[in-house]
Amino acid sequence: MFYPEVKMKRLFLFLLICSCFGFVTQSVFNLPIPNGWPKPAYNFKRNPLSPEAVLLGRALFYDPILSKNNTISCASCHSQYNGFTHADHAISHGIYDSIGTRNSPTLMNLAWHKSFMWDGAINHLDMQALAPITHPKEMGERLDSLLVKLNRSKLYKSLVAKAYGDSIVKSEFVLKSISQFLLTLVSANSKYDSVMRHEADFTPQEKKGYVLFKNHCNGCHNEPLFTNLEFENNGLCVDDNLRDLGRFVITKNPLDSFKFKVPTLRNIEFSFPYMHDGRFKTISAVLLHYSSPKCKTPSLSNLLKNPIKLSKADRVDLTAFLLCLTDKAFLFNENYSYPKILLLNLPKD
Amino acid sequence: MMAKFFKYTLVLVLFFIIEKQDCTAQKIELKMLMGEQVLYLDSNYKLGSADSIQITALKFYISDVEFWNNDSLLNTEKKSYHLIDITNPESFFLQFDLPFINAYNQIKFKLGIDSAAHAAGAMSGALDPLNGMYWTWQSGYINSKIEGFYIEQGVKKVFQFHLGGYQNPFNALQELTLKVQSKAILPIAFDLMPFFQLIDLKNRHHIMQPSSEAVLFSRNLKKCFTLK
Repeated sequence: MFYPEVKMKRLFLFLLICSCFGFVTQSVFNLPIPNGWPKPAYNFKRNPLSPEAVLLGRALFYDPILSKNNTISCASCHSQYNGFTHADHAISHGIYDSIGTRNSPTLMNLAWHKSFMWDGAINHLDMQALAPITHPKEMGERLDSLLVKLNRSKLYKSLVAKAYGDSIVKSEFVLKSISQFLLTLVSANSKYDSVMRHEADFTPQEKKGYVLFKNHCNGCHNEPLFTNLEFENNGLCVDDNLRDLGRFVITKNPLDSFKFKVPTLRNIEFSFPYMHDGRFKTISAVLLHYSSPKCKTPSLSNLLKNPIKLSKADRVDLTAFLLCLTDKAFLFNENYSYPKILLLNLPKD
Repeated sequence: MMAKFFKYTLVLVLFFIIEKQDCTAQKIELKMLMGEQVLYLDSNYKLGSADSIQITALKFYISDVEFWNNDSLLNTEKKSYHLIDITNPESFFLQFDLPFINAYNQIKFKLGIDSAAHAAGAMSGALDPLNGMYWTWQSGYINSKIEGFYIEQGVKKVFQFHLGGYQNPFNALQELTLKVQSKAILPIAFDLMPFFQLIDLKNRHHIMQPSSEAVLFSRNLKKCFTLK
């Protein structure tokens, strides 16, 4: 009489413990923060990273299902080997060969960013993907239609089930998982980083370039992110066709006219062309611009009121330093590339 | 034996939860009006002597509802966002996860979404961008959306007001206080007529982004909440 009851209790306890494990589908992990870096701006408490959700986000990032006619993916304009910008395109093109108005920005170290887009139109990484998905010249899709497509997909239903334990693909899962993948894109393994960690040394030329960088560029492109994450007018003349007023479009404050978000210089070797409209093809053209900014409007950055004087030799040294910001471990990281899981989902002929 | 016991407990617990909610939970019932008439989608309402209007879309957020007795706060539901949509009559009944306290004499609430939620990232439920109340090209919720036709001497013209903006100087969020008599299902009227009487539809028929006009129109929208 005694024993069966004890067994039953044990069985019950066993089942209870099992059921607890059953609910935990995620294995949460923390984003590794490089030594000496500031605290990330992203609130991970609201979206704790898990390998399952990162994989879901990675699949979505590379899948043209996000666009109306299934032709354009995020990766169309953000390719890994360019630091996740658009290879060799001044201005990106989207669905139906539509041409946009700005250069596709690089994607790296986004956990530290507090706003997104060249004009800071987007206030949270989770909401960023909505803009290109619904833009008529980028992916031209509607959020409701996208969710219908994703809910018809066996692949996404299973990825969502694994990541969130839910049988329905919800917009919150889509947006948060894309954030998760983007948050993992951390570039902190360039030669510069190795030197800072005392694992390598600059060549004499790179060292000279680093000194020039600290004297002339560090005001806006400050270490370790190589951007102050602010908006600045760097004295570029307005393109007559684009007539882009930059940050003013968002704040309506005349003092913000022609200001654009300061881009990171990490992986600059591969992220050409440069500037918000991609007008400069080479680093040397960029450095020449800073030697004599053409359009000094009232909102011009204080740090550029006096031109940056760089000799030809200085420009060569500075370039040598900028090439130290190339992070091959990032550009060729297999965890960031096209996920093989998508190959299983290709339409069969 | 064990299984049966659990089933009965579950049923009992559910019974109590359901009963508790039904009997004592606080609710607000919004009566959607256009002047003296009930507001329906796509119906004609006279505006002035010759012109009329039709509403084709009406959605707005009510958030942070507080129940007060004079100066003391009796009850509040923090971070609660209610999306009212004319196409969904269920949404006229605001459900609260709060017990009815028969002592409040005023309620305070916000028309729109507070700035913290505006910058909190992706969410589900009332704040799901799927609800069509989120600007995708510039982050921010649309606090209220009013669309329809203005018919002037038989000619139909579209109007669209998407009112929002959470950053100064274009913060369109509105705070309201209404003197009421406490009731478990508190009736409040939302009468759109005062809004249309305050604006000049002939000259201003589109607002689609944060601006000083969006703030002004949002202030006008406050006048629609009455105790009729």
